[in-house]
Amino acid sequence: MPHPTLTPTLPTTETGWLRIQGDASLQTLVEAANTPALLKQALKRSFSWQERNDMNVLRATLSPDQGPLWAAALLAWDTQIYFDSGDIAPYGAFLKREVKPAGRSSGILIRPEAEQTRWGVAEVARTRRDTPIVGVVAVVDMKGTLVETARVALTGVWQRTADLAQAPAQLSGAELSSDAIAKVAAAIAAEVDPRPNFLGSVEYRRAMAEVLSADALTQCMTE
Amino acid sequence: MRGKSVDITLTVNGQEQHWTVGNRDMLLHVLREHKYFSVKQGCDTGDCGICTVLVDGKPVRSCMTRAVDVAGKTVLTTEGLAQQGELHPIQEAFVETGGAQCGFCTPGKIMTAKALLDRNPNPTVEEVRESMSGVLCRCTGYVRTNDAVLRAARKLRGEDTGPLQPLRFHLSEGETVEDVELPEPYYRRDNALDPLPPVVITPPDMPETTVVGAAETKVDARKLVLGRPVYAFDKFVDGMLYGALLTSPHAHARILDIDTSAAEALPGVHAVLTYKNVPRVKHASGGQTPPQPPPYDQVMFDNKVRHVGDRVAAVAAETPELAQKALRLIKVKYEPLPHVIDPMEAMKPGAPVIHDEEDTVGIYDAQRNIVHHIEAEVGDVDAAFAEADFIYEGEYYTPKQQHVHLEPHVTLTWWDENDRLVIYTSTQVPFHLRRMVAPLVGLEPKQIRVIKPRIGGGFGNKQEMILEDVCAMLTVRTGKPVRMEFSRTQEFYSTRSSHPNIVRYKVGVKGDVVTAAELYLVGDTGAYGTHGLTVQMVGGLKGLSLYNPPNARFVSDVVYTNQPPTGAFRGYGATQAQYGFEVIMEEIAEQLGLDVVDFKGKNVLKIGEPMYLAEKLGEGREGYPQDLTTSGLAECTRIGLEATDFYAKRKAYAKQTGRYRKGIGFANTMHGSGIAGLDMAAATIKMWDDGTFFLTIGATDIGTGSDTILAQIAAEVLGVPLEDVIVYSSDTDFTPYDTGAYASSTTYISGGAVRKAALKVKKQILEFAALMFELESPEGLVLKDRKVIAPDGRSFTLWDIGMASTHQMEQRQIMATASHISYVSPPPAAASFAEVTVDTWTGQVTVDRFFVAADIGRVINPVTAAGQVEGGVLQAMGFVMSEEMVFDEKGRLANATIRDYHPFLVDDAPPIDVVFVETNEETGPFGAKSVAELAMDGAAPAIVSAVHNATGVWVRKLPLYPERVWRAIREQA
Ligand code: FES
Ligand code: FES
Repeated sequence: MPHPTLTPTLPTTETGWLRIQGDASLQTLVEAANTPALLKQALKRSFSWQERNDMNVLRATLSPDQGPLWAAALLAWDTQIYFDSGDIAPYGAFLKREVKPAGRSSGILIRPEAEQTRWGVAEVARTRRDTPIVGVVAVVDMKGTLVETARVALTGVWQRTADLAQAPAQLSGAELSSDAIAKVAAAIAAEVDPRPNFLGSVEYRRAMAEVLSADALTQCMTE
Repeated sequence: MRGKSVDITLTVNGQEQHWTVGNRDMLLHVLREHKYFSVKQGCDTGDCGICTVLVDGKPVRSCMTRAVDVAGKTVLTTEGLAQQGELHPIQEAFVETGGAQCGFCTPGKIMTAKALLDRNPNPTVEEVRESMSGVLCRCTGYVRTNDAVLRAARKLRGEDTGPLQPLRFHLSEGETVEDVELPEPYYRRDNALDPLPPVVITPPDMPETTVVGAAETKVDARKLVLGRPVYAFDKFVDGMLYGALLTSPHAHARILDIDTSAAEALPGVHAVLTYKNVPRVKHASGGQTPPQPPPYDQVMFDNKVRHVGDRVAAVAAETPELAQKALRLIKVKYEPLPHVIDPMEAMKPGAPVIHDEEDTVGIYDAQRNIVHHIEAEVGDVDAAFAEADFIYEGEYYTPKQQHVHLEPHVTLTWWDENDRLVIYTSTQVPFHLRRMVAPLVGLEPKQIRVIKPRIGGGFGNKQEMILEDVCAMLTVRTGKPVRMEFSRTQEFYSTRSSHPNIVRYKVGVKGDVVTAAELYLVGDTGAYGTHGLTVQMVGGLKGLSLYNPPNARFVSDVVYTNQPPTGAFRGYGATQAQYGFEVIMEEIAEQLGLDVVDFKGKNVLKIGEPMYLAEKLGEGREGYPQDLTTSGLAECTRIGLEATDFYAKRKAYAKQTGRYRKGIGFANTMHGSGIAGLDMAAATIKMWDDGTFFLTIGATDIGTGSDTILAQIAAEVLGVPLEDVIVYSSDTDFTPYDTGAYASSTTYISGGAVRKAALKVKKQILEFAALMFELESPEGLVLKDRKVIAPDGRSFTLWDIGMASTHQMEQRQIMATASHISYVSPPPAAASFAEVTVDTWTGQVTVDRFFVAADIGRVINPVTAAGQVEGGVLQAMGFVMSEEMVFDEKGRLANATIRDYHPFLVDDAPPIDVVFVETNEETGPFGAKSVAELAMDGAAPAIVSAVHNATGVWVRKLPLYPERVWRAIREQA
């Protein structure tokens, strides 16, 4: 029997955030009409169709190694984890064990797409479909012509699989110009703490953090 | 059963099932336990996708899905697709396009395609690539699998699609390839990704054939697309034990003691093997023609381990879990020894000595870990260098590549009713195995029968005794059937790989002629020397014959390191050596301001010229003189230049300055067709009473389609359609001898044997028909269209002749066996063109397109031949771009998973277009040469050449990791 393409909508909280149960398949997010485009792209880039069907949201989210670019996208998108106790924790802080919420993690909260939100993704890999050696996801919230907040998450440049850089905070209140991007990309490169392996030395990963952060942020200028 | 037992109800292929499963059992294993054998396992860790089944219509990896999680759901496997024996249109499309080569990934691909087409009846090629990217295929290059999905979509939409046909150009007298106008899509000006049919260009003087040359569907395709249990992986025997291997965690260590008492005491454990209780029979594990090339540096189990993954002990137990438990109970006392991973370090005085045992003979310099030192020379090299106008030197490096055939090594052994040991195994060399296993397990070869079923890919890694000796010994010791199977991790650690090579060339040029060349090849053979000698010798011959200077010197050191041993890998040294020569030729052309195509064309081996080194470099011994008798390389080059618009692009790309730069590269390659004077194949053909034929061959079809093309050769001679020839291969009891599937020998050597056997049978048929016609001699009788026709127009069908000869008059069995050996190994040749985009800021190289024009002699089957080229190109692209076994300082692999190692997936692959320029090689069956290995050789030099065109840098070390390219660009800047 044919299975028509489904376009369900993900449930939302009172504040409009998408509330995704941990046991939902990743493909649910790809097929839902209201999943932010960045997350759809990160899912498709990080997981095969099979993986998106047989892996649930919580597993993919709490084990960033499963899909580093997906983890970076969630970090940059300011995702929250919710718990059966009712607690909520920022994804990044939870991964780093900086918070100790009560109960068991139950799902994720994703803020909805907004007009003032722009994003960009950049990466380097051996091949198109390979896990990125370094990957960068940038999300910038604009207020008029100025940056309100900028979040840049990187993979392949920390001991952890993915983490947010601090340097983009300096963009707040500034215009998103090429100069500003170049400065913040350089600051990100100075901030990262890569571990070398056969795919990239410390020097290379640091250099890529700069190039790709600039790329991802530049995409935010035009989005 | 893993975990607590749970009763589940589910629907599988429309039938309700009530099963008791463990709550940690994965669906893959549960389905296979219930005999849904179409569901294959390539990794069991979620990385290959070939275990895909549909759960409620969605594709999932069954190895990552718990059986309890599908309770109440519907599961569809490939067994559930065909209805009343009628193939599903998707299965039909995979048959028609050659989308199933070894077929081991095919059920996973078919199920994914089913899910896609259920949702999207009219997918674009991009959507097909995206959707299918979760299923790895190691054989096809994805061209034909993508084609199959698009074709299936058309079928399901009710559009007419015939079987895939090549685009043919039959040149008339006076026409040349320059008169061929390829259709617009072959120029790929729009960057489309669509799979295109292969092109066959036939010269005017090529004799006409009917079955040979036709795009026949593979004789085994139906069973492969149905997912039938045709592999060793699918074989289980009642009462069998499960064998398992304990391997070394150390790169180099002495085993001071090994205590197996606890394992042996475990109820259900039937045998434990270690160095203490198996005979120490020195041998080499490579499947090669005797006398086996030295050194004999292996024993079944040793008191020393020489690489992580080396054999320590084996057990046979009643369940796989028990076998693993027994392994954990074996206490090994190791004395770790210093180890060495780098071959250059291994040759230094004072390096750890890897083979210090006294009973290995034939090591050239054991103290320096040099197992072989090879020297061969022709002409006066030093004088030629002294007289050269220009001398250029370059060093190149090629990685250690793993085969990643998707069916792992699997072996079953049992005693048959005649007390003979049966070895049912996934091998490329059944006849060699029979001979090699016997002394190791204390039997005579005549007591052993080796059966090779369908093989889920080999690429050289099954030209080796990997599990067979251990499994056989466990059966000898226990008297019971034993099954052994490697995990994907064991495939990486405990099987074989290609030889990583340091390739140093020195080339002397006078004017624009290469007058002298020297090749120094360091071959890292890993912990054992199997294939070390022969791979390097082939590298020397093929590397120095392509441009064939009259003054040539080959020097090689084959070096032990504490890495897993290397072995046979498609390309067999030629890939590595030709990569270096091709690149250095382009470097020289650039330095001298010469057109690279002209420079190579001027110097390349030409018809009538001898290969100067051929007599000195055979395989493991001296060779035979070889002259080039046919070559379509110049025509191949011309076609490629035109189809890729090479010169215009080269010029335009050389001037780029931006971040993203395009490049186009070109390479010549040549291979061989079997090992001259060594490879022997035989074939037997008998005619049944119904006038059809049974062809038995020892040749081993490892997914290449060799059964099909050999049957085509027989059918052509016997004047029948392909369906009238039933093929059986290979079983050492029932099929005649064949060296096995290696050295690109099957089409040329085995095909030669089949043709001879068919000619003998034809002669018998005509003689018998003459009796029936009451003619004095068969002269003038014609065998065609299932009939023998007399000059006066009378005819008898083969049915008539079969019935008469078997049952009615002067009865006899029409049957013949023939053997074939060749003292020449005519080289097929190809011109390869790669187009790339380089991100100069990150160093990432993307291959946008690959075009190959190949002369493989007569193309016996354009679809299977194109599949060999496409698959070989993509496997080689992995060698260039991503695939390398990387070791840490302890000798452990940094990337022992498919995910980390990263063979190309569908979405990684560029379009690969294939054009065949036929030649008529008189020594080959119907003019054929070979194809399988040639395809490996062109990607590396063509892509490196394209990167140079884009960026101006030469990246001489493979793979082209982005950092390597980035550094080269920065260094240049
Ligand atoms: S066997 Fe399931 S993904 Fe490889
Ligand atoms: S046909 Fe795909 S792995 Fe062999």
